Amino acid sequence: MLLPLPKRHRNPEDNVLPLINIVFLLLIFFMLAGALVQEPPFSVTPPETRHTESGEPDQQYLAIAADGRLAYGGDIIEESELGARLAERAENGAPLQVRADNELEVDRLTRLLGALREADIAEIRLLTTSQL
Amino acid sequence: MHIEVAPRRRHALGLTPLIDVVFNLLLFFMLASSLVDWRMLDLATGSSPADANAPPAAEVRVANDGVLRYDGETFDIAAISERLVAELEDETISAVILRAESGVQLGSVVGVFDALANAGVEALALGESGREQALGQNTDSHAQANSGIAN
Repeated sequence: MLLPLPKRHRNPEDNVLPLINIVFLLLIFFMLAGALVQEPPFSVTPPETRHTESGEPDQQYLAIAADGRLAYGGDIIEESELGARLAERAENGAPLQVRADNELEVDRLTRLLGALREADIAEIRLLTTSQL
Repeated sequence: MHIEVAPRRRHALGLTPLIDVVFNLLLFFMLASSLVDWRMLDLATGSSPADANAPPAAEVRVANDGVLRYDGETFDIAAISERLVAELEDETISAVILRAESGVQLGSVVGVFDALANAGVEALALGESGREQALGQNTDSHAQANSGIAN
């Protein structure tokens, strides 16, 4: 004897619940794993290292493009403004983070390090990415 | 009089607006956040005080094609790490200063820096690549070294 199956009372919104679960998980992942740091106004490809320790990038950092242009805190600055801009920097004891381009000539970087020394910055932290 | 109560809706709050907001948030965080694994390389901008009695610092020149010159010979990274570590152990040298020749790009120097630091060269510095140092004088190289590993 064939009995009819009991009619299931289905809510059309039940179908989206698994979708919402996944989307919530993705949202939480990106909120926790990603860092909301402002990108420099020009393209900077950092050099790669294999053995250095990882760390958290600061909101305020000095970016140096391959052609020597500078940016601090998202604004393009001239080398002459560097001292004044870095003087505004909050003294929290952490070294200044520098994002320099892979193809920057080292002569330019060492000259800039001399300018930073005159601006009373004893230590910088060069940001690199890990080599795969 | 009998008034019939309207049947209650199953969901008091509609799910659709919630999904809209969550989707927007998800898109924002996916696009705005970066998942780059940043690494830190500490450099000092100032010269460290040199001990007058200490042995001199070895000066390694990094050329454009990845060749390293030290003491009149050319090396690759593996060979020079071995030699410098041996000389540091013998106390023939006290520190290593990397000087880039003109036009050398940062990536190759950082690569050498990283490899030497990993090989156990602790007193490692990035030197200014001025012309006067091109003559190979390393008598006052401590004073000319302008940046070194700070830790």
